[in-house]
Amino acid sequence: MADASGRGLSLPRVLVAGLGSVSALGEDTAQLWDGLLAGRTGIKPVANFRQEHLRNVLAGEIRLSAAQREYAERYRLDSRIALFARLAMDEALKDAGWTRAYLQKKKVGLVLGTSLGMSLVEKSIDQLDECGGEQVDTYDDFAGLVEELADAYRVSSEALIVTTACAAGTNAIGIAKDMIRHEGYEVVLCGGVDTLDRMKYLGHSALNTLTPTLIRPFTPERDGTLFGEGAGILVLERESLAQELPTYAACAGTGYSCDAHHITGPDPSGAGAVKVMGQALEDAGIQAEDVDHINLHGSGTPLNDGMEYAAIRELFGPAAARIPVTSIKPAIGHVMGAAGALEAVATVLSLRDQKIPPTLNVAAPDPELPLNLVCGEARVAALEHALSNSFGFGGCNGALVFSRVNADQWTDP
Amino acid sequence: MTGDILLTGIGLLSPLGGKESFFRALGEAEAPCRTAGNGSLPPGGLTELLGIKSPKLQIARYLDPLAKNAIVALEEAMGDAGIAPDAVAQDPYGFGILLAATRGPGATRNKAYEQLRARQGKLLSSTLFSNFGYNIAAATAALAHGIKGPNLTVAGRSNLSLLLLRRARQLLATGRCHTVFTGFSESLVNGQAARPVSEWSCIFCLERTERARQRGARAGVVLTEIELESPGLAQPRPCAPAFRLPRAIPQPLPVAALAEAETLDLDLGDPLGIGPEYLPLLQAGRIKATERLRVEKTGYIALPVSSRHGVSLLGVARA
Repeated sequence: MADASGRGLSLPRVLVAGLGSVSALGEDTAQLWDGLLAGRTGIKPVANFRQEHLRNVLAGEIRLSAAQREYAERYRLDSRIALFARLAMDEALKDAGWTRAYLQKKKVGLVLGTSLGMSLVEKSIDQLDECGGEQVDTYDDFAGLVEELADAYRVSSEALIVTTACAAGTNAIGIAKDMIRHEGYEVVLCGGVDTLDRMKYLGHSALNTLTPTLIRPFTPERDGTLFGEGAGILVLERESLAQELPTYAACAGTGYSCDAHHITGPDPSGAGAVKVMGQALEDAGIQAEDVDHINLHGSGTPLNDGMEYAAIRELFGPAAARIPVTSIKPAIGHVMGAAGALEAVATVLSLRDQKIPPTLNVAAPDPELPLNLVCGEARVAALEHALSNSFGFGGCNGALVFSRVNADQWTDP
Repeated sequence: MTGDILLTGIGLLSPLGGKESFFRALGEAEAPCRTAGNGSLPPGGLTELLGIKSPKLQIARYLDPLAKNAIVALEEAMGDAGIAPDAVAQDPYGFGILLAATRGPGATRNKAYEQLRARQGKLLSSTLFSNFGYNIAAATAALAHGIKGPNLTVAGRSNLSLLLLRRARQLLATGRCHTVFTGFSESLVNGQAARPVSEWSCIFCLERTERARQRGARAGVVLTEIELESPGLAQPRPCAPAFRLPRAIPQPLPVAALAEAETLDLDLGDPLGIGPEYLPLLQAGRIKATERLRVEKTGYIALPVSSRHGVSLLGVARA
């Protein structure tokens, strides 16, 4: 009971027991992780919606496989957001060794992050172009989505969607962690899911947040981001439930804050980001000098990267130039409400494998933002505690701390 | 989790007006959705209808109607709780916002769809897109009031009202902040402009007890344990028969601290067209006080809280 996630407080430790993901790099977590470590990219021209009038046609889009289509047909899923969520949740539960029937005997919660409801209206966007004055039902009610997922996994207790823009996945995991640590939940399925559509790309084209080229975070040439889609799911469980299967890491700390600065732009001072990272460290019971790795928000927009650097420099001081950091967004795109969850998956696997994936598209980091950016190839490092950051529209900030557990239970990957 | 939470303030905007007129209407068994002429209320018209002119509404050139309502309701809740704006300015991370949004800024989305159609699907307004997010009400309210603590927006099933209180309690009990403004700012807009539109915003000020006492807040209502276990929740429920006053709600609300509930015989219908397989959750009613409140002879009143179906009633209040 006394560890990074509950030291001195007799609080239960929260363990990551299972992982699931769907991303532009593959249909499962193994493909995602292999792709990240190998420096592969999932960015390609969009094919699921029209490319006209977009600032950039590249994205981390998922091309459904035959198996994924068959899954959608079998369960009669008519939205990509539900499909991605269920694929990732199935994988995560299987990975954790839980069956749905067994879960029914436990106190189980479900907390998922996502961003915009237009995710649910793929067909409607095209109809809007074609149907003239006809009204189109926009299917933007999150209650339907959470109902569908809770019913599918027989979650009879709390089932919640967190919608804090691009911090949603991180915030969802943080809430889930606290539900186990403080409220008696035994297992919580958590993470994030999001999809691409033409409306989002038109919107970000208008906002100039889309790069005309590629995501190049923390470089002098950074000029915007590209978006992606997918889902990242973590099965968090109370330590006392730990089964024979190995657990990945402890979900040790989280933080929340709001910039209250601008609807779409970050506070350039990074004050809110400093606060949220500091809260997460305090929650985990560790100091800044204990952090061995940061999975950056790293969206590649000039404002976001500048703010994130300022915040890391403020919190970590001179050590900011030493801690190895990375961004996986160049490889899978900015997956919005699922970004923090997929980055949490990568952070947890970094702790397990003691490897940090490279940041793609970076020849030389910006000397004005002197961070120890892992680029070129994956780096082997001794990692005990890692931080994952997310910053969203509306000034919503989130951070998570994961800590290594049971180092000897995994064979050399 | 331990530690009592106090409800110290309420802000409310409804088609019937602010909280006093709303509660008065409830007491007179008036059904807000029927009597407020919602069919004639244009999307985003609530602040205009009520003649509200707050300087806080000037923070941006464009504000989604739900954001406007949230800004005003939060301002009222702060005032009701006796929290001065400079108290927030001195401790911005001590205050948080937690709102529900099942449908989000529908009026802005509809406006954007219309604009996109007019532009032959080529161009979308960056201003409107910036206000698309489901978290726009909470984010804009934070911006207007300088609140920098946790800022969360959530959606859920028909027990969302209870989830909100539970998450707010989590934020307070785990020390994320000492005060949470929680509630909802919702519209029943559903993409079909011909249907009646109703906007509501209701925000509670919840505080850690020691904080409220420390600042000398007036006596509030104690929010005790919130029990959410409801094993049958995932299963469709049979439709309940029509209510008669006074009559206990057939399926007691899953709040352990609340003893019993009764309705005002005001079934507000099913404006979202969810269908008859669910309980008619959109109803006016009131819930009797908890044991604790009875001892303190504080009586009971009803509070509206958002749910999947729009507005349901929960609660106890007003010392």
